[in-house]
Amino acid sequence: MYSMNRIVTQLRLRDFMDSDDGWGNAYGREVHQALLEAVEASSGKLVFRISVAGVRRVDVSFAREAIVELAARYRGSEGVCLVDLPNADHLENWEAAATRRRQPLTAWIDGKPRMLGPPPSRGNKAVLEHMLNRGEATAARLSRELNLTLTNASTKLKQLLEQGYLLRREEISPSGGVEYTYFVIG
Amino acid sequence: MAIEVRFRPSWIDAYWFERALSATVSVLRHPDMQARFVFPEGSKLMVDAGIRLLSLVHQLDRVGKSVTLEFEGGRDGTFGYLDRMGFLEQLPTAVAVIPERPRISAVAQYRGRNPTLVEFEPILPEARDRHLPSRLADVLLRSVGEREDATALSTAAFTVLSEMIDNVYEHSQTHLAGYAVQQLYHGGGRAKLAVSDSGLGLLDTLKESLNVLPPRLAELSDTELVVEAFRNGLSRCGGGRGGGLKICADHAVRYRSELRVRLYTSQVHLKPSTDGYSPNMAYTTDNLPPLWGTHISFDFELGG
Repeated sequence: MYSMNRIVTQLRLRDFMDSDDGWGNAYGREVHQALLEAVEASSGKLVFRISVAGVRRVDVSFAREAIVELAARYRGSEGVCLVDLPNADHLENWEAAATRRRQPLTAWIDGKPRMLGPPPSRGNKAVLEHMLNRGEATAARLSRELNLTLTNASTKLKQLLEQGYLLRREEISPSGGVEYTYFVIG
Repeated sequence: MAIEVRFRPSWIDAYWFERALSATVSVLRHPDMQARFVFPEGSKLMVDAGIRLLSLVHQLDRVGKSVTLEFEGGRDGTFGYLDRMGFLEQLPTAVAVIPERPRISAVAQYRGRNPTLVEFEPILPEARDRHLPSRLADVLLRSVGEREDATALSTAAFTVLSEMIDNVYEHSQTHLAGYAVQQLYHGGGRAKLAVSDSGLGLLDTLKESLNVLPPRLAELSDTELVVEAFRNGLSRCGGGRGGGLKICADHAVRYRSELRVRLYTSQVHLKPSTDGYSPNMAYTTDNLPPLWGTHISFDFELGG
Protein backbone atom coordinates (compact mmCIF):
# COMPACT_ATOMS: atom_id res chain seq x y z
CA MET A 1 0.00 0.00 0.00
CA TYR A 2 1.49 3.31 -0.95
CA SER A 3 1.00 6.47 1.02
CA MET A 4 -1.08 9.44 -0.06
CA ASN A 5 -1.61 11.18 3.24
CA ARG A 6 -3.29 14.16 1.74
CA ILE A 7 -6.09 12.20 0.17
CA VAL A 8 -6.44 9.09 2.34
CA THR A 9 -8.23 8.74 5.64
CA GLN A 10 -8.98 5.74 7.83
CA LEU A 11 -12.21 4.99 9.65
CA ARG A 12 -12.52 2.26 12.25
CA LEU A 13 -15.76 0.34 11.64
CA ARG A 14 -15.96 -0.84 15.25
CA ASP A 15 -16.27 2.78 16.39
CA PHE A 16 -19.60 2.97 14.56
CA MET A 17 -20.97 -0.29 16.03
CA ASP A 18 -22.34 -1.05 19.48
CA SER A 19 -20.88 -4.57 19.64
CA ASP A 20 -18.22 -6.71 17.95
CA ASP A 21 -20.74 -8.41 15.64
CA GLY A 22 -22.71 -6.76 12.85
CA TRP A 23 -25.82 -8.34 11.38
CA GLY A 24 -29.03 -7.56 9.58
CA ASN A 25 -30.21 -5.04 7.03
CA ALA A 26 -31.58 -2.52 9.52
CA TYR A 27 -28.42 -2.34 11.61
CA GLY A 28 -26.31 -2.24 8.46
CA ARG A 29 -28.28 0.80 7.28
CA GLU A 30 -27.79 2.50 10.66
CA VAL A 31 -24.04 2.02 10.53
CA HIS A 32 -23.98 3.06 6.88
CA GLN A 33 -25.65 6.35 7.79
CA ALA A 34 -23.09 7.05 10.51
CA LEU A 35 -20.21 6.21 8.17
CA LEU A 36 -21.72 8.42 5.48
CA GLU A 37 -21.71 11.37 7.85
CA ALA A 38 -18.07 10.71 8.66
CA VAL A 39 -17.18 10.48 4.98
CA GLU A 40 -19.05 13.65 4.12
CA ALA A 41 -17.25 15.43 6.95
CA SER A 42 -13.86 14.48 5.46
CA SER A 43 -13.96 16.70 2.41
CA GLY A 44 -11.05 16.46 0.03
CA LYS A 45 -10.29 12.84 0.78
CA LEU A 46 -10.18 10.40 -2.09
CA VAL A 47 -9.76 7.09 -0.29
CA PHE A 48 -11.49 5.81 2.83
CA ARG A 49 -9.81 2.85 4.43
CA ILE A 50 -12.32 1.03 6.61
CA SER A 51 -10.46 -0.79 9.34
CA VAL A 52 -12.27 -3.91 10.57
CA ALA A 53 -9.99 -4.33 13.59
CA GLY A 54 -12.15 -5.29 16.54
CA VAL A 55 -15.04 -6.47 14.38
CA ARG A 56 -15.52 -10.14 15.12
CA ARG A 57 -18.23 -11.26 12.72
CA VAL A 58 -20.47 -9.71 10.10
CA ASP A 59 -23.23 -11.31 8.09
CA VAL A 60 -23.84 -10.66 4.41
CA SER A 61 -26.75 -8.27 4.93
CA PHE A 62 -24.78 -6.07 7.31
CA ALA A 63 -21.64 -6.12 5.13
CA ARG A 64 -23.69 -5.07 2.12
CA GLU A 65 -25.74 -2.34 3.75
CA ALA A 66 -22.95 -0.83 5.87
CA ILE A 67 -19.94 -0.91 3.57
CA VAL A 68 -20.62 -2.23 0.08
CA GLU A 69 -23.39 0.32 -0.41
CA LEU A 70 -20.90 3.01 0.63
CA ALA A 71 -18.47 1.83 -2.05
CA ALA A 72 -21.28 1.78 -4.60
CA ARG A 73 -22.38 5.30 -3.69
CA TYR A 74 -18.96 6.80 -4.35
CA ARG A 75 -17.94 4.54 -7.22
CA GLY A 76 -15.68 6.32 -9.64
CA SER A 77 -15.13 9.41 -7.50
CA GLU A 78 -13.99 8.23 -4.06
CA GLY A 79 -12.79 4.80 -3.00
CA VAL A 80 -13.65 2.53 -0.08
CA CYS A 81 -11.50 -0.43 0.90
CA LEU A 82 -11.19 -2.84 3.81
CA VAL A 83 -8.01 -3.03 5.91
CA ASP A 84 -6.85 -4.92 9.01
CA LEU A 85 -8.57 -8.14 8.02
CA PRO A 86 -6.99 -10.82 10.20
CA ASN A 87 -6.93 -13.47 7.46
CA ALA A 88 -8.68 -14.78 4.40
CA ASP A 89 -11.18 -16.79 6.51
CA HIS A 90 -12.97 -13.53 7.30
CA LEU A 91 -13.57 -12.66 3.67
CA GLU A 92 -16.42 -14.95 2.76
CA ASN A 93 -19.35 -12.80 3.83
CA TRP A 94 -17.71 -9.62 2.50
CA GLU A 95 -17.15 -11.39 -0.81
CA ALA A 96 -20.76 -12.55 -0.94
CA ALA A 97 -22.03 -9.05 -0.18
CA ALA A 98 -19.89 -7.44 -2.88
CA THR A 99 -20.76 -10.10 -5.43
CA ARG A 100 -24.47 -9.88 -4.81
CA ARG A 101 -24.44 -6.10 -5.04
CA ARG A 102 -22.20 -6.29 -8.15
CA GLN A 103 -19.86 -3.78 -6.51
CA PRO A 104 -16.11 -4.46 -6.42
CA LEU A 105 -14.49 -3.98 -3.02
CA THR A 106 -10.74 -3.95 -2.41
CA ALA A 107 -9.58 -5.82 0.68
CA TRP A 108 -6.01 -5.59 1.95
CA ILE A 109 -4.51 -8.67 3.58
CA ASP A 110 -0.86 -8.79 4.65
CA GLY A 111 -0.18 -5.69 2.61
CA LYS A 112 -1.56 -7.14 -0.62
CA PRO A 113 -4.79 -6.10 -2.35
CA ARG A 114 -7.49 -8.63 -3.11
CA MET A 115 -10.51 -7.78 -5.20
CA LEU A 116 -13.83 -8.95 -3.79
CA GLY A 117 -17.05 -9.05 -5.72
CA PRO A 118 -17.75 -9.47 -9.42
CA PRO A 119 -14.78 -10.30 -11.66
CA PRO A 120 -13.88 -7.81 -14.38
CA SER A 121 -14.72 -8.53 -18.00
CA ARG A 122 -12.38 -10.86 -19.86
CA GLY A 123 -10.99 -7.93 -21.80
CA ASN A 124 -10.03 -6.00 -18.66
CA LYS A 125 -8.83 -8.91 -16.54
CA ALA A 126 -5.17 -8.66 -17.49
CA VAL A 127 -5.13 -4.91 -16.94
CA LEU A 128 -6.65 -5.23 -13.48
CA GLU A 129 -4.22 -7.98 -12.50
CA HIS A 130 -1.34 -5.84 -13.67
CA MET A 131 -2.63 -2.90 -11.68
CA LEU A 132 -3.10 -5.01 -8.54
CA ASN A 133 0.60 -5.91 -8.76
CA ARG A 134 1.76 -2.50 -9.75
CA GLY A 135 -0.37 -0.26 -7.57
CA GLU A 136 -0.70 2.70 -9.93
CA ALA A 137 -0.03 3.71 -13.52
CA THR A 138 -0.90 6.25 -16.16
CA ALA A 139 -2.41 5.10 -19.45
CA ALA A 140 0.87 5.85 -21.16
CA ARG A 141 2.86 3.63 -18.80
CA LEU A 142 0.32 0.85 -19.00
CA SER A 143 0.31 0.92 -22.80
CA ARG A 144 4.11 0.42 -22.77
CA GLU A 145 4.12 -2.29 -20.16
CA LEU A 146 1.28 -4.32 -21.64
CA ASN A 147 1.96 -3.50 -25.27
CA LEU A 148 -1.40 -1.83 -25.81
CA THR A 149 -2.24 1.21 -27.86
CA LEU A 150 -2.58 4.34 -25.77
CA THR A 151 -6.26 4.60 -26.65
CA ASN A 152 -6.85 0.99 -25.67
CA ALA A 153 -5.04 1.36 -22.34
CA SER A 154 -6.92 4.55 -21.59
CA THR A 155 -10.28 2.98 -22.39
CA LYS A 156 -9.65 -0.06 -20.22
CA LEU A 157 -8.50 2.00 -17.27
CA LYS A 158 -11.53 4.25 -17.56
CA GLN A 159 -13.82 1.24 -17.63
CA LEU A 160 -12.20 -0.18 -14.51
CA LEU A 161 -12.63 3.21 -12.85
CA GLU A 162 -16.30 3.45 -13.74
CA GLN A 163 -16.97 -0.10 -12.60
CA GLY A 164 -15.40 0.55 -9.21
CA TYR A 165 -12.16 -1.44 -9.43
CA LEU A 166 -9.80 1.54 -9.51
CA LEU A 167 -9.65 5.23 -8.74
CA ARG A 168 -7.69 7.99 -10.39
CA ARG A 169 -6.16 11.30 -9.45
CA GLU A 170 -5.42 14.25 -11.67
CA GLU A 171 -1.82 15.34 -12.06
CA ILE A 172 0.19 17.67 -14.27
CA SER A 173 2.10 15.77 -16.91
CA PRO A 174 5.72 16.56 -17.80
CA SER A 175 4.42 18.34 -20.85
CA GLY A 176 2.29 20.62 -18.67
CA GLY A 177 -1.03 19.07 -19.55
CA VAL A 178 -3.37 17.13 -17.32
CA GLU A 179 -2.94 13.40 -17.01
CA TYR A 180 -4.60 10.80 -14.84
CA THR A 181 -2.82 8.34 -12.62
CA TYR A 182 -5.03 5.31 -11.98
CA PHE A 183 -4.49 3.42 -8.75
CA VAL A 184 -5.68 0.51 -6.66
CA ILE A 185 -7.94 1.70 -3.87
CA GLY A 186 -5.98 1.53 -0.66
CA MET B 1 -64.05 -33.22 23.04
CA ALA B 2 -60.47 -32.10 22.39
CA ILE B 3 -58.41 -32.97 19.35
CA GLU B 4 -55.55 -35.02 20.76
CA VAL B 5 -52.03 -35.12 19.36
CA ARG B 6 -50.09 -37.90 21.06
CA PHE B 7 -46.31 -38.03 20.69
CA ARG B 8 -44.26 -41.16 20.86
CA PRO B 9 -42.45 -42.26 24.06
CA SER B 10 -38.98 -41.68 22.57
CA TRP B 11 -36.96 -38.99 20.78
CA ILE B 12 -39.21 -36.60 18.89
CA ASP B 13 -37.52 -34.62 16.16
CA ALA B 14 -39.25 -32.64 13.39
CA TYR B 15 -40.08 -35.84 11.52
CA TRP B 16 -41.82 -37.46 14.49
CA PHE B 17 -43.54 -34.20 15.33
CA GLU B 18 -45.12 -34.12 11.89
CA ARG B 19 -46.02 -37.82 12.15
CA ALA B 20 -47.93 -37.17 15.37
CA LEU B 21 -49.61 -34.08 13.97
CA SER B 22 -50.65 -35.91 10.80
CA ALA B 23 -52.17 -38.79 12.73
CA THR B 24 -55.20 -36.68 13.58
CA VAL B 25 -57.26 -33.88 12.05
CA SER B 26 -55.73 -30.44 11.62
CA VAL B 27 -55.62 -28.84 15.05
CA LEU B 28 -55.43 -25.40 13.42
CA ARG B 29 -58.20 -25.71 10.85
CA HIS B 30 -60.67 -28.08 12.51
CA PRO B 31 -63.69 -26.34 14.07
CA ASP B 32 -63.16 -28.12 17.38
CA MET B 33 -61.97 -25.42 19.77
CA GLN B 34 -59.92 -27.63 22.08
CA ALA B 35 -56.52 -29.13 21.44
CA ARG B 36 -54.45 -31.42 23.66
CA PHE B 37 -50.82 -32.39 23.17
CA VAL B 38 -49.80 -35.47 25.13
CA PHE B 39 -46.25 -36.44 26.03
CA PRO B 40 -46.10 -40.02 27.32
CA GLU B 41 -43.45 -41.08 29.78
CA GLY B 42 -40.14 -41.51 27.96
CA SER B 43 -40.79 -38.88 25.34
CA LYS B 44 -37.90 -36.53 24.59
CA LEU B 45 -38.65 -33.45 22.51
CA MET B 46 -35.82 -32.16 20.33
CA VAL B 47 -35.53 -28.46 19.64
CA ASP B 48 -36.49 -28.55 15.94
CA ALA B 49 -39.78 -30.19 16.96
CA GLY B 50 -40.15 -27.97 20.02
CA ILE B 51 -39.89 -24.77 18.05
CA ARG B 52 -42.65 -25.87 15.66
CA LEU B 53 -44.85 -26.87 18.56
CA LEU B 54 -44.28 -23.53 20.28
CA SER B 55 -45.31 -21.63 17.15
CA LEU B 56 -48.33 -23.89 16.66
CA VAL B 57 -49.51 -23.39 20.24
CA HIS B 58 -49.34 -19.61 19.80
CA GLN B 59 -51.27 -19.86 16.55
CA LEU B 60 -53.98 -21.96 18.21
CA ASP B 61 -54.20 -19.46 21.03
CA ARG B 62 -54.46 -16.63 18.51
CA VAL B 63 -57.54 -18.20 16.90
CA GLY B 64 -59.15 -18.65 20.30
CA LYS B 65 -58.61 -22.37 20.84
CA SER B 66 -58.15 -23.85 24.27
CA VAL B 67 -54.80 -25.68 24.46
CA THR B 68 -53.51 -28.22 26.98
CA LEU B 69 -50.05 -29.76 27.20
CA GLU B 70 -50.11 -32.96 29.22
CA PHE B 71 -46.93 -34.59 30.51
CA GLU B 72 -47.77 -38.12 31.61
CA GLY B 73 -44.32 -38.53 33.18
CA GLY B 74 -45.02 -35.69 35.61
CA ARG B 75 -42.25 -33.20 36.28
CA ASP B 76 -39.47 -35.53 35.19
CA GLY B 77 -38.14 -36.04 31.71
CA THR B 78 -39.52 -33.84 28.98
CA PHE B 79 -41.38 -31.53 31.36
CA GLY B 80 -38.18 -30.71 33.23
CA TYR B 81 -36.21 -30.28 30.01
CA LEU B 82 -38.79 -27.94 28.49
CA ASP B 83 -38.93 -25.95 31.71
CA ARG B 84 -35.15 -25.60 31.64
CA MET B 85 -35.22 -24.60 27.97
CA GLY B 86 -37.69 -21.80 28.54
CA PHE B 87 -40.36 -23.50 26.43
CA LEU B 88 -42.95 -23.45 29.22
CA GLU B 89 -42.14 -19.82 29.99
CA GLN B 90 -42.86 -18.85 26.36
CA LEU B 91 -46.32 -20.47 26.29
CA PRO B 92 -49.35 -18.17 26.13
CA THR B 93 -50.78 -17.66 29.60
CA ALA B 94 -54.08 -19.31 28.65
CA VAL B 95 -52.41 -22.63 27.81
CA ALA B 96 -52.99 -25.29 30.48
CA VAL B 97 -50.07 -27.47 31.55
CA ILE B 98 -50.51 -30.81 33.32
CA PRO B 99 -49.25 -31.44 36.01
CA GLU B 100 -48.94 -27.65 36.35
CA ARG B 101 -46.83 -24.72 35.31
CA PRO B 102 -43.80 -24.27 37.55
CA ARG B 103 -44.20 -21.43 40.00
CA ILE B 104 -40.53 -20.61 39.56
CA SER B 105 -39.27 -21.51 36.11
CA ALA B 106 -35.98 -23.36 35.84
CA VAL B 107 -34.95 -21.16 32.94
CA ALA B 108 -35.23 -18.08 35.12
CA GLN B 109 -32.64 -19.61 37.45
CA TYR B 110 -30.29 -21.12 34.92
CA ARG B 111 -30.60 -19.06 31.73
CA GLY B 112 -27.29 -18.76 29.88
CA ARG B 113 -25.39 -21.16 32.11
CA ASN B 114 -25.36 -24.29 30.01
CA PRO B 115 -22.64 -24.14 27.38
CA THR B 116 -24.41 -26.56 25.05
CA LEU B 117 -27.72 -24.86 24.58
CA VAL B 118 -29.51 -21.59 24.08
CA GLU B 119 -32.97 -21.51 25.47
CA PHE B 120 -36.00 -20.79 23.31
CA GLU B 121 -35.62 -17.09 22.58
CA PRO B 122 -38.50 -14.97 21.28
CA ILE B 123 -38.06 -12.84 18.18
CA LEU B 124 -40.39 -9.93 18.86
CA PRO B 125 -41.27 -7.79 15.84
CA GLU B 126 -41.59 -4.68 17.99
CA ALA B 127 -38.37 -5.13 19.97
CA ARG B 128 -35.29 -6.18 18.01
CA ASP B 129 -32.85 -8.18 20.16
CA ARG B 130 -29.56 -6.96 18.77
CA HIS B 131 -27.45 -9.62 20.46
CA LEU B 132 -29.50 -12.75 19.76
CA PRO B 133 -27.43 -14.22 16.88
CA SER B 134 -24.22 -13.53 18.80
CA ARG B 135 -25.51 -15.33 21.90
CA LEU B 136 -26.49 -18.32 19.80
CA ALA B 137 -23.21 -18.47 17.91
CA ASP B 138 -21.11 -17.94 21.04
CA VAL B 139 -22.67 -20.99 22.66
CA LEU B 140 -21.48 -23.04 19.74
CA LEU B 141 -18.04 -21.43 19.91
CA ARG B 142 -17.67 -22.28 23.60
CA SER B 143 -18.66 -25.87 22.96
CA VAL B 144 -16.32 -26.48 20.05
CA GLY B 145 -13.56 -24.14 21.15
CA GLU B 146 -10.82 -26.73 20.86
CA ARG B 147 -11.44 -27.50 17.23
CA GLU B 148 -9.10 -25.96 14.67
CA ASP B 149 -12.07 -24.62 12.74
CA ALA B 150 -13.94 -23.30 15.80
CA THR B 151 -13.90 -19.69 14.58
CA ALA B 152 -15.05 -20.66 11.11
CA LEU B 153 -17.79 -22.86 12.56
CA SER B 154 -19.07 -20.11 14.85
CA THR B 155 -18.99 -17.64 11.94
CA ALA B 156 -20.99 -20.09 9.87
CA ALA B 157 -23.54 -20.52 12.65
CA PHE B 158 -23.65 -16.75 13.23
CA THR B 159 -24.28 -16.13 9.54
CA VAL B 160 -27.03 -18.73 9.30
CA LEU B 161 -28.77 -17.54 12.46
CA SER B 162 -28.49 -13.82 11.75
CA GLU B 163 -29.81 -14.11 8.21
CA MET B 164 -32.74 -16.29 9.36
CA ILE B 165 -33.56 -14.02 12.29
CA ASP B 166 -33.29 -10.89 10.17
CA ASN B 167 -35.71 -12.46 7.69
CA VAL B 168 -38.25 -12.80 10.49
CA TYR B 169 -37.90 -9.14 11.43
CA GLU B 170 -37.98 -7.92 7.84
CA HIS B 171 -40.48 -10.17 6.09
CA SER B 172 -42.80 -12.09 8.40
CA GLN B 173 -45.35 -9.26 8.79
CA THR B 174 -46.99 -10.56 11.93
CA HIS B 175 -47.35 -9.55 15.55
CA LEU B 176 -46.89 -13.12 16.71
CA ALA B 177 -43.41 -13.74 18.07
CA GLY B 178 -40.93 -15.85 16.17
CA TYR B 179 -38.46 -18.10 18.00
CA ALA B 180 -34.84 -19.16 17.81
CA VAL B 181 -33.18 -22.04 19.62
CA GLN B 182 -29.99 -24.08 19.54
CA GLN B 183 -28.93 -27.35 21.11
CA LEU B 184 -25.80 -29.43 20.81
CA TYR B 185 -26.36 -33.17 20.86
CA HIS B 186 -22.91 -34.44 21.67
CA GLY B 187 -24.02 -38.06 21.59
CA GLY B 188 -25.09 -37.65 17.99
CA GLY B 189 -22.30 -35.25 17.08
CA ARG B 190 -24.74 -32.64 15.85
CA ALA B 191 -25.87 -29.12 16.56
CA LYS B 192 -29.46 -28.20 15.78
CA LEU B 193 -30.16 -24.54 15.00
CA ALA B 194 -33.77 -23.56 14.39
CA VAL B 195 -35.66 -20.36 13.66
CA SER B 196 -39.44 -20.18 13.39
CA ASP B 197 -41.96 -17.51 12.61
CA SER B 198 -45.74 -17.49 12.31
CA GLY B 199 -46.06 -14.83 9.67
CA LEU B 200 -45.97 -14.60 5.93
CA GLY B 201 -44.41 -17.81 4.71
CA LEU B 202 -41.15 -17.99 2.84
CA LEU B 203 -42.84 -19.07 -0.38
CA ASP B 204 -45.30 -16.19 -0.24
CA THR B 205 -42.50 -13.65 0.17
CA LEU B 206 -40.45 -15.25 -2.62
CA LYS B 207 -43.41 -15.38 -4.98
CA GLU B 208 -44.12 -11.71 -4.41
CA SER B 209 -40.78 -11.03 -6.09
CA LEU B 210 -41.59 -13.04 -9.19
CA ASN B 211 -42.74 -9.93 -11.02
CA VAL B 212 -39.15 -8.72 -11.13
CA LEU B 213 -37.40 -12.05 -11.61
CA PRO B 214 -36.78 -14.03 -14.78
CA PRO B 215 -39.94 -15.72 -16.09
CA ARG B 216 -38.32 -19.15 -15.82
CA LEU B 217 -38.62 -18.91 -12.06
CA ALA B 218 -42.39 -18.50 -12.32
CA GLU B 219 -42.55 -22.03 -13.73
CA LEU B 220 -40.77 -23.65 -10.80
CA SER B 221 -42.61 -25.87 -8.35
CA ASP B 222 -42.64 -24.83 -4.70
CA THR B 223 -39.83 -27.26 -3.92
CA GLU B 224 -37.74 -26.00 -6.81
CA LEU B 225 -38.33 -22.41 -5.74
CA VAL B 226 -37.11 -23.11 -2.22
CA VAL B 227 -34.05 -24.92 -3.56
CA GLU B 228 -33.39 -22.02 -5.95
CA ALA B 229 -33.58 -19.55 -3.06
CA PHE B 230 -30.97 -21.49 -1.10
CA ARG B 231 -28.86 -22.35 -4.12
CA ASN B 232 -28.75 -19.09 -6.03
CA GLY B 233 -30.60 -16.52 -3.94
CA LEU B 234 -33.87 -14.71 -4.61
CA SER B 235 -35.47 -11.66 -3.12
CA ARG B 236 -38.49 -9.46 -3.45
CA CYS B 237 -36.24 -6.47 -2.88
CA GLY B 238 -33.86 -5.12 -5.46
CA GLY B 239 -30.34 -3.80 -5.14
CA GLY B 240 -28.56 -7.09 -4.63
CA ARG B 241 -30.57 -8.18 -1.63
CA GLY B 242 -31.58 -11.83 -1.44
CA GLY B 243 -28.23 -13.49 -1.09
CA GLY B 244 -28.96 -14.27 2.56
CA LEU B 245 -30.48 -17.70 2.06
CA LYS B 246 -27.78 -18.67 -0.39
CA ILE B 247 -24.95 -17.66 1.93
CA CYS B 248 -26.65 -19.63 4.73
CA ALA B 249 -26.60 -22.64 2.48
CA ASP B 250 -22.97 -22.03 1.45
CA HIS B 251 -21.90 -22.01 5.08
CA ALA B 252 -24.12 -24.85 6.20
CA VAL B 253 -23.22 -27.26 3.43
CA ARG B 254 -19.60 -27.12 4.53
CA TYR B 255 -20.67 -28.90 7.72
CA ARG B 256 -22.81 -31.39 5.82
CA SER B 257 -25.84 -29.72 7.29
CA GLU B 258 -29.28 -31.02 6.46
CA LEU B 259 -31.79 -28.27 6.02
CA ARG B 260 -35.50 -28.53 6.66
CA VAL B 261 -37.91 -25.81 5.62
CA ARG B 262 -41.45 -26.31 6.92
CA LEU B 263 -44.01 -24.28 5.00
CA TYR B 264 -47.79 -24.00 5.38
CA THR B 265 -48.68 -27.56 4.34
CA SER B 266 -45.40 -28.92 3.08
CA GLN B 267 -41.80 -29.41 4.01
CA VAL B 268 -38.67 -29.32 1.89
CA HIS B 269 -35.76 -31.40 3.18
CA LEU B 270 -32.44 -30.56 1.57
CA LYS B 271 -29.48 -32.87 1.88
CA PRO B 272 -26.07 -31.54 0.98
CA SER B 273 -24.18 -32.79 -2.02
CA THR B 274 -20.70 -31.91 -3.22
CA ASP B 275 -21.95 -28.80 -5.01
CA GLY B 276 -24.33 -27.54 -2.39
CA TYR B 277 -28.05 -28.08 -2.23
CA SER B 278 -29.48 -29.29 -5.49
CA PRO B 279 -32.98 -30.20 -6.68
CA ASN B 280 -32.13 -33.88 -6.93
CA MET B 281 -31.26 -34.00 -3.24
CA ALA B 282 -34.42 -32.17 -2.16
CA TYR B 283 -37.30 -34.18 -0.71
CA THR B 284 -40.75 -32.72 -0.37
CA THR B 285 -43.49 -33.85 1.94
CA ASP B 286 -46.90 -32.49 0.99
CA ASN B 287 -50.33 -32.51 2.63
CA LEU B 288 -48.97 -31.79 6.07
CA PRO B 289 -51.35 -30.26 8.62
CA PRO B 290 -51.47 -26.47 8.22
CA LEU B 291 -48.92 -24.48 10.18
CA TRP B 292 -48.55 -20.75 9.55
CA GLY B 293 -45.21 -19.20 8.83
CA THR B 294 -41.77 -20.58 8.05
CA HIS B 295 -39.81 -22.96 10.23
CA ILE B 296 -36.22 -23.57 9.25
CA SER B 297 -33.78 -25.88 10.95
CA PHE B 298 -30.17 -26.71 10.23
CA ASP B 299 -28.42 -29.81 11.52
CA PHE B 300 -24.70 -29.08 11.64
CA GLU B 301 -22.48 -32.12 11.74
CA LEU B 302 -19.81 -31.62 14.38
CA GLY B 303 -18.11 -34.99 14.13
CA GLY B 304 -16.69 -37.02 17.04
